[in-house]
Amino acid sequence: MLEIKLDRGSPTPPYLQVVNQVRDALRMGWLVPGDRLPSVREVVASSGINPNTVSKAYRELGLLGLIESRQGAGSYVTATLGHADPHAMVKFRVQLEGWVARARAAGLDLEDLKVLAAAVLNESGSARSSVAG
Amino acid sequence: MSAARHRQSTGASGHPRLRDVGWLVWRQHRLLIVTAAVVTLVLCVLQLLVERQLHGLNCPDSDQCAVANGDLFTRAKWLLEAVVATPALVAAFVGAPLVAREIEQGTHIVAWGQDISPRRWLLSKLAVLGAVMAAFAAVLWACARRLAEALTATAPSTVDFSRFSRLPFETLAPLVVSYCVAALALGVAVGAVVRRTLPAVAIAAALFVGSWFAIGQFVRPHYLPAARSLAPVSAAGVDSVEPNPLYLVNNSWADANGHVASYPDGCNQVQDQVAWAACLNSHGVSHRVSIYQPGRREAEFELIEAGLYGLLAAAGTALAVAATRNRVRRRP
Amino acid sequence: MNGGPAVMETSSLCAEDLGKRYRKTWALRECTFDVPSGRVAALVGPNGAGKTTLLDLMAGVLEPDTGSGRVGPAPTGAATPSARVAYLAQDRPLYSTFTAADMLDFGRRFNRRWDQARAFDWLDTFDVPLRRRCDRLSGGQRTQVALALALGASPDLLLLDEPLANLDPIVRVEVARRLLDLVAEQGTTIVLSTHVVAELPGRVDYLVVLVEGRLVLAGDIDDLLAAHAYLEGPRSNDAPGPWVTVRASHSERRSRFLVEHSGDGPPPLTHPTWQATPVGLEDLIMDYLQAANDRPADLAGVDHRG
Repeated sequence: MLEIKLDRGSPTPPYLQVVNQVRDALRMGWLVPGDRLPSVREVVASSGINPNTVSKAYRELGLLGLIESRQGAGSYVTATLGHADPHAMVKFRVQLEGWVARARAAGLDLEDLKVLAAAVLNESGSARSSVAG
Repeated sequence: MSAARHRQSTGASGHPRLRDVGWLVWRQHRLLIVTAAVVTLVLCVLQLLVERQLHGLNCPDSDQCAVANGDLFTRAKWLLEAVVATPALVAAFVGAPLVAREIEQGTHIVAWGQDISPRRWLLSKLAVLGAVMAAFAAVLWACARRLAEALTATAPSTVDFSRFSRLPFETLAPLVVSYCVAALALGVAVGAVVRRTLPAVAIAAALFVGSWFAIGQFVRPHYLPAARSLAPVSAAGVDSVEPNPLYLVNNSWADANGHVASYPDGCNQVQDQVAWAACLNSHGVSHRVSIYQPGRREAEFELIEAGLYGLLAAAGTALAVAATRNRVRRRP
Repeated sequence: MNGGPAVMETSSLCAEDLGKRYRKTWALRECTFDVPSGRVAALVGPNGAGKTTLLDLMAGVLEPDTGSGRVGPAPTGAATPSARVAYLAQDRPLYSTFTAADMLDFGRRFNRRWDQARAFDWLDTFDVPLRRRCDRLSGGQRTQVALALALGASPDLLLLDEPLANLDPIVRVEVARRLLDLVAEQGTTIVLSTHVVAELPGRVDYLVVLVEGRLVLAGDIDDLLAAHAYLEGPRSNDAPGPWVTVRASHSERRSRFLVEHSGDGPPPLTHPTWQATPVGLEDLIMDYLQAANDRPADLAGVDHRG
């Protein structure tokens, strides 16, 4: 069963974290259509998240067409999220390796690279969540 | 929500059950109740002991006897005074802390945070505690009565235990019971208004003692309109009008028409009875006026006083209930 | 909504211009907010901000000087309440000569609805001795007894004054979990006060922030977070936009503004030159508290009724 973990320090709203974790699980193939998601009470028990938050996340997932909630019977996965194309993964990995090499040659160290990467990912991630939220 | 987990413990209207209030009163105030029982027991034992000693006396009505057994008579009277003092203790230590302590310790949040309103809580506790205290008072009185009757029977007249005085009136009849109930109600009312235990204890005691004293001194002689008698001053002295008046409200002197006349001080010097009477007559004083309560009214008076204290109990209860609200203006 | 029974609108909590004065000082002033049923609301503020006063008013223990409070349709402290309200007061009032078992016995006898199993389970879970007098229990154990008493009454609304204070770290997590489970199971509304902000994110979904007796921020947390953003950029005196600045912090070369942008112009998260980041709950609260500290005269704050 999917284990939901909350990052209390993250600026991402908790309900979005739940949504994203379910979506990531779908993307990774850990959840397939027909799987039962943990009930609201189960999520509360395992992760200590507010039940209204969990309900809101499940509603959101329902609106996205990813899950279906039946009153009294639980919530079930109804769709898949496309896996990333393996060719695209290889292509972008090569590009990333080149970028890292050029940055280091220019004098940036490992920490600089991490900071840059985090900043850009953060921005791109919040742009996405402000659209989805 | 499974209904099996819930239990209907109070009636649909929220009236608490007697057994639950009884449990609460015992559980919360058992030290108080046990203390009251011990006090009652001790006083009773002491009184019965003294009573037996009194009956063992063979005392003619003489000053000698009175002096020789002075200690015994004094002890008897003090024991009776102690009985009359117990209601003040009830007001101070049972009544005053009832509401005051709850609020001062903050436990009123618990007491009134359940499904029972503060007023119902107060009334039921008062009823149970009142019954308990009344029961103790009744026992105490039963012992006091025996002692008081023994005193009346055996004490010489110089030991002042005649109907003139307060002590026999208050101990020969079960007035102590009505005193205790009124004291409880008064004490609770003070506590509910003052809301701090220590001041409430002091005020309740003072207020009860003050009321009891004021009633005894100033109201009691006037429960019924007093009788008035005119006794002529003669050479043989002044006829005593009523052999055993309950109260002597007033003695004064009057002239032949019954108008009040002042006592001529000059006649004090005169020793001789005949000459004294003549002296008075020469100043126009011919009669002695007595305003008094006849002794046969004793039972009526006891009843009236019990009723008066009953009214006080009701008034105290009403005040206590009015002052006990869910919301306070300020948390202590 | 969350599978709980239809307790619903009977246990919403609403305050309208609530105020309380002691002599010349106002402990609480112009307090207005609206917590819907079934929510978990945090009442946050520094010590002395008026949190306990507000809880006392909502519990019907204290009389307000201005304004009014309502639980569902009925006024707070009403003689015939529509919702069962249980209050965990700050000093955990218990009868000192009673044992924990006695306290629960008291609850059983004087409540119409009493969940004996839940109350005793609670004490059992947290290893509270049943036969020891309450004045011989530790602070944490007293809290647990008071909580068991509150929970046994099957409340629709739970008012908790710093419920996790005096509790061990592991116990805190477990208590929080169980309270949230109660919300999930019964739809209970919970209002808890705290001055420890770090434990809140993810647990509470409604926020009321008090500073010196005044409401600084109130509303649904997701709405509040969505309405705020951090703008970071080169040193400047004002935020680069029409938004309300809640708090600004500057270093030698950079400035950061916490802005509130409900409806005034485009949202800053798409700002071209400045870096905009979303705000987490803890940061939001801390910045509002800090801002109120910096400008005590200007405590009107932002009003978001959730």
